Order: sequence, then C-alpha cells, then structure tokens
Amino acid sequence: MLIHLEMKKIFYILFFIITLSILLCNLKEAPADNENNKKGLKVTVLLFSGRPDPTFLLEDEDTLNQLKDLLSKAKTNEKFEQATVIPSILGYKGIVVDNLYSVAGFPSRFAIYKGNIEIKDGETKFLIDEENKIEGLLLDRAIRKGVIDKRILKRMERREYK
Amino acid sequence: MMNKKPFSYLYMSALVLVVLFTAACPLKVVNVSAPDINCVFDPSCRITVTDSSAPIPIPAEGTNFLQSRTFVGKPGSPANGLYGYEYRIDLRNAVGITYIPCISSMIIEFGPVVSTLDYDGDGSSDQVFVITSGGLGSIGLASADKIGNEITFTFSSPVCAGGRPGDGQSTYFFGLVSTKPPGFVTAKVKETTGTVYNVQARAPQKCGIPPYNPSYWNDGGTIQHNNNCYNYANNKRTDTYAQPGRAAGAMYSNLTCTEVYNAAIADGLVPLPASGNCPDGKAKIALFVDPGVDYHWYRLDRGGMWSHKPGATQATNLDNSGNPISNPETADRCGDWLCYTDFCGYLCCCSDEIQGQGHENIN
Repeated sequence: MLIHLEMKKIFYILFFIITLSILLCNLKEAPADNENNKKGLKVTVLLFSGRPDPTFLLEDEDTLNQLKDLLSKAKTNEKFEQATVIPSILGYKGIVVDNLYSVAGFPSRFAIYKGNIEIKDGETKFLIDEENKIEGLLLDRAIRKGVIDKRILKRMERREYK
Repeated sequence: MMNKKPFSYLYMSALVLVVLFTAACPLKVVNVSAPDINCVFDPSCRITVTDSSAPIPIPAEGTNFLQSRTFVGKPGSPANGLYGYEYRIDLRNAVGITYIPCISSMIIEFGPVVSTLDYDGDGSSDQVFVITSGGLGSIGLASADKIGNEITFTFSSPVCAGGRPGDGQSTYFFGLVSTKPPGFVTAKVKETTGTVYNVQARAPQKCGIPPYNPSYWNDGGTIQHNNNCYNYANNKRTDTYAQPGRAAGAMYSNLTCTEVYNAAIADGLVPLPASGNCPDGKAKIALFVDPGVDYHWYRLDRGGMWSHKPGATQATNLDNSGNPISNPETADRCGDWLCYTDFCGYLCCCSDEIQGQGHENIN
C-alpha cells in the first residue's frame, strides 16, 4: 500500500515537471512560430533621398505567381553594361525586392528600373522587363497597399516633373 | 645699395613671422590634487569619466599603455560645457627585454587649449594641470610646449619600464581642457633613445573637408542601403538612415525648409556665416526641400565641387542631367515625381578627411 502511494506521488511529480516543460518550450517558441509564419517579398519603392522609402510586404499568392511567371520569362540583357540598374538620381529611381522569407522561385534580391532587371542571387545578372510589366505590376500593388504619398500619387497621375 | 634695403626689410619681416609661427609657446603648468581638481568640472566634485588606453610598442614585455581620460564640465561648474582631457603613461608592469626602455616626452595634436580656468585655486588662469596627489603615478611634467596645434609634454624625469613586473614607473595624470569633444588621434611617444612610437589616444576632434571618393559609400550593401543624403553630407556613417534632429530629440514634423533646417541645427550643425566660409575647418553643406514630400542635402568636397547621395542609391558628383555640380542652387534637382525646388540654405558641419568619419552627432 505504501509503495503504491509512493508510486502515485512520483507519477504526479513527473506529470507536473513534464507539463511545465512543455508549457515553457511553447512559450519560448511562440515568437519563432510567428516569424516563420511571415511570408512574401519585401518591396521597396525608391522615391526619396532623405526620408525612408515606402515599403510593403507582397504576400498575395496570385501576384506572387504572376511575378514569378514574368521573371521566368524575362530575357537576358546582354547589352547592359552598367554596374546596377538603379540610377543615382533624385526622384523615382526604381523598385527593390528582397526575398527575406525565402519564397520559392525568387532570387534573394532583385531590382527593376525602366525596362531593366538586376538579379542578385550569388552572382549578378541583368534581364529585360518587357513593356515594364514587372515594374508596373509592383507599382500598382504599392499604390493599392497605400504606401505611396497622396501628393506623389497626384504627380504620378499628372505625369509631373518628368 | 639703396635699392637693396626694402628687400632686406622684407626678408627680415618674413623671417620674424616664420620664427613667430614655429616658436614653441610654453603652456602654464600647475600641480593639483584629486579630488579637488574635479570641482572645476562638477559642482559635486565627482566626475564621470570615459577611459581608453592603447599599448606603447616599446621593446618591453608585460603591459604598458597610454591612457586617455575624458569628461564633460557640468552646469554650475567653472568648466560647464567644456571637455576635460587627461593622459597618463603607465610602464609599471612593463619589463625591459635587452635594456630598460624609458620615455622622455609625448606629442599630441590638441588644437586650442582653454586658458581661462584656475586649476590650483590661486586666482590666476592656468592651461595644464598635473594631479600630483590623490591619484596614480610618480612622475610629473617638466614642460608643456605648444607649436601650432601640437603640444609636447616633456616629463620631469624619464618614465621607465622595470626589471620585473611592478618595478616600472607611471606618470601622474596630466590634463587640459578644450571646447571640442573627443575623437581619436595618433600621439607620438618618444623614447630616451630618440625612437618615436605612434600610439592611439583621444584628443579634441579635428574637422576636415572630405575628398570626393564615392567607393566607400557605394558598396552595394550595408553602407549604401542604410545611409542617406544626410549621412553623406555630414560624411558620417550611422547605418540608421539618419534624420535631421533625431539624435537631439528634435526631429522635424513637417517637411518644410524651416523645420528641416532647424532640426539640423539641433543636431549641432551651424548656419554658414556671412563670409560664406565655414569656420574651424568645417565643411559646407546645402539643404533643399520638395515641400511636404522630402528633403535633400549636398556637400562641398575638397577640390571645390559638390556631390550627393540620393537616398539608398550610390553617391555621385552628377546632377539629374548628368552634369558635374559646381553650384547646387543651379543643379538639376528634379526627377520623376519629385523636385527639390526650395533652397533652404547652407550649413557647416564638423566633417572629416576620412570617408564616413564625420563628427556631428546625427542619427
């Protein structure tokens, strides 16, 4: 009888320790789970010189598939001779996409400006953005996400300055 | 014979000028005790110091170093807002290998020395103090001589390493005061044999004009993507996309000339004097605003031309039309959807000749 009571005691202690461990482990892992849940591409529209540029996370599956399709069909630009497609100028200077969460089918980073694409995935290569389709798609999504200032939107509509 | 006289007068005058400029100017050195000396810098006579030390490459084993100590004068003290600098050469644990090395003097580029403070309480102004009681060390100063921006501290007797650890010597702390905050410099420490060693120390920061050398900024990575036009104009890498006024807790709220200009002044930048030239070796920078949208800065490089860094892109010396920038006010500052139409003015910042090493407190 005494032995049975001791066994019961040990069982409860063990049960308590295991439950506590599981709880603690879950608590520790919770933020990591949230981080893992993040997906999509970080898109930065290069507009400003002083202020931070507008960014958004592109998560929409349809757009991601559309983008993947356009990128896979983009032809290599053999004639591009500059170091980067992003110009050192004031005003709009292109779009940079960072694949921070390793979305399958995309390079780690790519940049687009007026028909030229720069792919960075270990090595750098240059492609052609036919009819500015990729740039147009990303700018459209930036506008829809509401990250572009109203003043700039008006200027875009009016084709102001350049 | 008569014609030669004006030339000889001219020659003599030039000689006198040369002698005046190169002559050593002895600084007034007084002995003080700790903690009394702290009362010059803090009404409570307790100072908070920042220490750094660098080894002196003398032929010795064990440890030896030049210690630099800095602190700021607190409100209510005679040195309010000024920067205190103290130095000490410590060879106590240095052990000579083939002979016992000794140090006779130290030269440091310090710039203007504050000469209005009374360190020993005798009612007259002093320039250099030596803490001969209440602190470390046993060797004081024989003299402190200033030539141009350099000060030579000659020790009252050679500071020597020992035959075994703990047998070496240390100077007392010797100090002086500047209006400028500290930066890193290379001090020269002279052995009695005549050998001179370069040792890192801290002294009042020296402003300089940077050359146009964009490769430092155009790394295609961390530096390029995290430093904007304000970083570039100030020639200071922070990797934080620095914003005017943020470091001072006075960031602009609206993108107007007045607000961004005043935010930069809160960071410590100074408006350009009427002369059109920045004082104290500071660098000239220019501010423009696209009202309500963004701001942009240019900097004047050594050589007289301007350059800029449009946001996270590469630094360049060309404007939006691809022309070199001789005057930012006439440069093409309009691109797609943005145009920096409003010229806000010129400011002066404490930049540096080395890229990314500017001295303004921006963030």
